[in-house]
Amino acid sequence: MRHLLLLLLLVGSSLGGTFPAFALADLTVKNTLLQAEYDLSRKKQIYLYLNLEKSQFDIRSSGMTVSTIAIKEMRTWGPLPEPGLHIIADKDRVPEREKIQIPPPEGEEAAAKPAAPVDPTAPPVVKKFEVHATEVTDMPTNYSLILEGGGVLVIKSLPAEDDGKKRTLAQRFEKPLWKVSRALHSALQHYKQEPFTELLLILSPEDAQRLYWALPVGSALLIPSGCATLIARHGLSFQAGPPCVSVSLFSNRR
Amino acid sequence: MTISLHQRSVASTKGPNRFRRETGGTKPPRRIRKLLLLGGLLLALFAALLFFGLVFYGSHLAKQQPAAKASALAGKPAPTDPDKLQKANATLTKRLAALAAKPDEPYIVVDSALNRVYWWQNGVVLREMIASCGTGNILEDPASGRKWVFETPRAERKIWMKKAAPVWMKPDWAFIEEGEEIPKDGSGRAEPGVMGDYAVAIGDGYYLHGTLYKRLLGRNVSHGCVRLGDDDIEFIFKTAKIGTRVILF
Repeated sequence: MRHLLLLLLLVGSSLGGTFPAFALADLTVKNTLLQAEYDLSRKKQIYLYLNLEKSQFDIRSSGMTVSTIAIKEMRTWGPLPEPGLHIIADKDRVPEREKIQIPPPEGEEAAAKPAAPVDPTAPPVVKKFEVHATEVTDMPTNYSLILEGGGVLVIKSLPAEDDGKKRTLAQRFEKPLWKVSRALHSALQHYKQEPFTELLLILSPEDAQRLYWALPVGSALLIPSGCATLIARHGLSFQAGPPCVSVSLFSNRR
Repeated sequence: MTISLHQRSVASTKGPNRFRRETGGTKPPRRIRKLLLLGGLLLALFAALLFFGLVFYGSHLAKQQPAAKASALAGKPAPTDPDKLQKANATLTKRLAALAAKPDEPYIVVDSALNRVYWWQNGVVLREMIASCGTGNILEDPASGRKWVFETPRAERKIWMKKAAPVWMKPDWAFIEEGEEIPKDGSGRAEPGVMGDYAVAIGDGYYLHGTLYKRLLGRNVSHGCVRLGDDDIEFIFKTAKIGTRVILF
């Protein structure tokens, strides 16, 4: 039925000789995205593309996808981030990096510490080699990416349901709890006169860590106008920017 | 089954605190009534909060809509004519495709998170190699105020030089890290063998090279270069050409 309505709308508007407004908006957004991707590629920058059709992040360079990070689930509260180029302005839960201590000059060290007497009978001390590095496993699995302009991309990780591990009560009721908490948070933000929007992405813990690693502060993220895809896939009924307006008319499926 | 249920039901009504609504029996004790009242109040408060949250959310959405619409279409002025837009998009798609690698053009992808190097050609990975990328540690020299971050860069680069039997010219940070004095001239900086048998330069002092520490392959232990096993660096040295793309992320 929805498709029939859409078809009728398209046929009607084409007979009338006018270009559908939502199609024009879609073309404009596509143009903005292509321009942004072209500019990034010319600068030889690595960027991420939120591929809504395949439910994954594409790590891209020069228009080529070199790696992907799968998205298990996507939820939104408020309008989606506007389609186009977004810069990661900040991240939370930044892991502490190791700062290598420079030893003081020999003279100072000798003055500060008297040399310990060496026991000739003691066995030689074998130092165990330890890697002191910030690795992908040190990255957080639940975090927020703050976009320039105030949008928030919340990354949560949930273990796969079929991995044999028993899910905790909090994990079982995670979705209804999220909805209730967002409603309350919305009310609070309303009093503060601050708009509140959130795009929540659920990934596997390993993929969440890889995404954190791949998106340092200042990196570019391209968000397409995939509202139609989102609505079709997740049955969302919110309105979110021009390309969605027309589609959300038919998004009564739940 | 029926009998047992009946028995249980009879037994349960005999409890001292049982509230028998249908017979108009004794009221529940005061403590339970208080608890019920408190629970009802909490539930009502929660429902009210939820209701107001949803109402405010709706009004917030209504306010956001025109702003989102305006700003999404703002930015670079794009043509408003649909035909012009379609042509512009087709041109941009072609230009973007021209920047990408040709189907038979090989390129190297370095995944610094997984410490893997991939040799791509014709849209497939032909060789996967275990590497060691940057530690991400920070070295600060309080004496000079200089700072180094030992990270593998995230960018697209090209191979611009290939070296067999490379000699590592020890940079300043290596002396500072080891607590040694930085030599004023080039003497004492050359260290042959540290970079393995081959090295390929990708700019700004970064290399893909061999290593003495093969057991640490797969871990982030380098100062930003990409260390590889002997066979893998030999393969890259012999197969890659000057100008081969190296994509690091």
